[in-house]
Amino acid sequence: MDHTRDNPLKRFSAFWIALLLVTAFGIACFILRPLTHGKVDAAYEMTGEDRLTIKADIDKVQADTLNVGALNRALEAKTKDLIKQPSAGNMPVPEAAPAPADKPADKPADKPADKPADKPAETPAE
Amino acid sequence: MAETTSTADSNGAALRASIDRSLRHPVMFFFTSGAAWLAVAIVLGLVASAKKHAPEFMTCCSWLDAGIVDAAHMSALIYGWGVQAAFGIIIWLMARLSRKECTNVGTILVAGHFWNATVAIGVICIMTGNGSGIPWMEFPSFVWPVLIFCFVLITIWSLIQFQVRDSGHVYVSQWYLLAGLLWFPWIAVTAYLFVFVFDGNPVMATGIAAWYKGTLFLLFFVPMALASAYYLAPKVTGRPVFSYDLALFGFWALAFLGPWAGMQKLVGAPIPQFLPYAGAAAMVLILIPAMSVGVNILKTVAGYGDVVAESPSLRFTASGVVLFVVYGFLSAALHLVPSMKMTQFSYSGYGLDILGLYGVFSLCAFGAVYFIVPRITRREWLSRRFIKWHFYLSLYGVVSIVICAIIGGVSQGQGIEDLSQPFGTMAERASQYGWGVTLAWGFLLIANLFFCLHLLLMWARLGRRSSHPTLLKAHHGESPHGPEGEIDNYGSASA
Repeated sequence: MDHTRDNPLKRFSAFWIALLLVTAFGIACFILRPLTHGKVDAAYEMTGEDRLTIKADIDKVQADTLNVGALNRALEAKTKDLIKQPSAGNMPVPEAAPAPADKPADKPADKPADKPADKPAETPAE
Repeated sequence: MAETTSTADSNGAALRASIDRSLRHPVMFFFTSGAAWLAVAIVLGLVASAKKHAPEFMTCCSWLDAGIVDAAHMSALIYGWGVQAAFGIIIWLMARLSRKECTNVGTILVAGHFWNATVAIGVICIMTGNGSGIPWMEFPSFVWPVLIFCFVLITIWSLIQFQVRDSGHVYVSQWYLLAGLLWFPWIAVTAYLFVFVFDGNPVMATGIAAWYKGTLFLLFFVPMALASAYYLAPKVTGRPVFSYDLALFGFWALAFLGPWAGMQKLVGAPIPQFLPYAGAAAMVLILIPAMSVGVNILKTVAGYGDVVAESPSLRFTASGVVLFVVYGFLSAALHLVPSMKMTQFSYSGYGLDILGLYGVFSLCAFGAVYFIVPRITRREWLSRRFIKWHFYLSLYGVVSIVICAIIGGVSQGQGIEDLSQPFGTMAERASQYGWGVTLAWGFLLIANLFFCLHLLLMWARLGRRSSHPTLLKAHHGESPHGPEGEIDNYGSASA
């Protein structure tokens, strides 16, 4: 055995170097991960900037062409017409059914109706 | 002078014998458990293949659904057999070439048991529908850190042996072993983190999974196969490697091209377009290292045809190297741009995977097993018929699978491209070849039952007590192996 090459210290250091080499791949991945994410986000941001510019242009053109005074006048006139007409809620309902009497408080609300167990609730269509 | 040489030989033989003794249990454990997993993988492969052309086959069991059983088959083949056979080769070959005994047998054996238990849990998870669904990474996410940790615990001692080796020549086999030992953690850790841990873009996770699949074969299984081939070819023939320059060129060509492979499967996917085409280019250019290795090994054994025919180790190894050259040609043909249309979504990729995993890696690994096991058990193989059957059925089976899967796959691809035909026509075209693949898996199953049984008998030390190796030659006289005798001496460990 060549003791200059093979001794406990050499083996100990070789063990840690080998372990470091293996874990280095994982460490490298953790370091590289934010870099790859940053690149993807920048691409989306670049596209987003163009979209926002186009949207601003459209908003500006729409704002310029919109006549706010005329729109308000038209809305006021329509509102007055609607107030003059009677609404469906104010009209009497013909032959309305009397309101049901209050149930006793101790009766559970979700108690099922007494029916024979073998009788279906609804008769199926023949 | 002659006395000094004789003493050196005796010391060398004693050292080799002590290295073999120190590694007997871990190496036999990895080879035998790997062989058992190979049998499981082949049974699952048989069922998976039958499901492709007969979907009604075994519909009673939901855990044998086509997608599930296919994933379990590949996982058992790769992590049950492939990596464990590689462990056996790594720890024995590195110890022998570094001339260092193994002093951490207990740790290796414990980690080996954990590896097997984890693979078993992973396969059960796949079969109960809890797999990840990612090709070649089908085990659930919690399995991977354990596997990577076990890999490090098993192989780190080989790195230390290399570091503290006696100064001298570094063999070609050691280049490949060392590279494979470092490349596997690189690709496994990277793929695990980017696929299972980081919440990145799922399309890129798919790309990285495809890259893992390509590189696991080229940067781990191929180096292990070539390490074995570069050891056995000169060792058995007694000649030096034909050309060290060519070996160096082949190694660096593989190291340069291997990391680019894998993403060719994602042509048309929303990833940067250069990535799939870079992968395809790497798979085409893999012919270069395949040719350089093929020429180098075959020129080394050229003129020794009788040795190749008689030695089980060399016969398997030479076949594996020839199939690596075939792999290079097929890879080049199937990854050209016009042919990728036919192969991307067809059966042919499976044919190429099996050619790589079984035809190249496994045949070279069988060669290593037939060489290593007699040396560590101090017994010779019991039956040359078992070895012959294993060889012929393996070769016939793998060649049949590759031919059926690739021709069937291309035919299937043509069916997909032909838009005037209904989709069912494409399935009908592939089903005929599917029958052939199923039959071929049957041959491989029989071959590996012989192998598994033979290996178990050797582990039980029921092999022949003979000083003559088991050669595959015809009977002459009383025994084809020469007279029986005691082998508990240094003679058995001299090769």
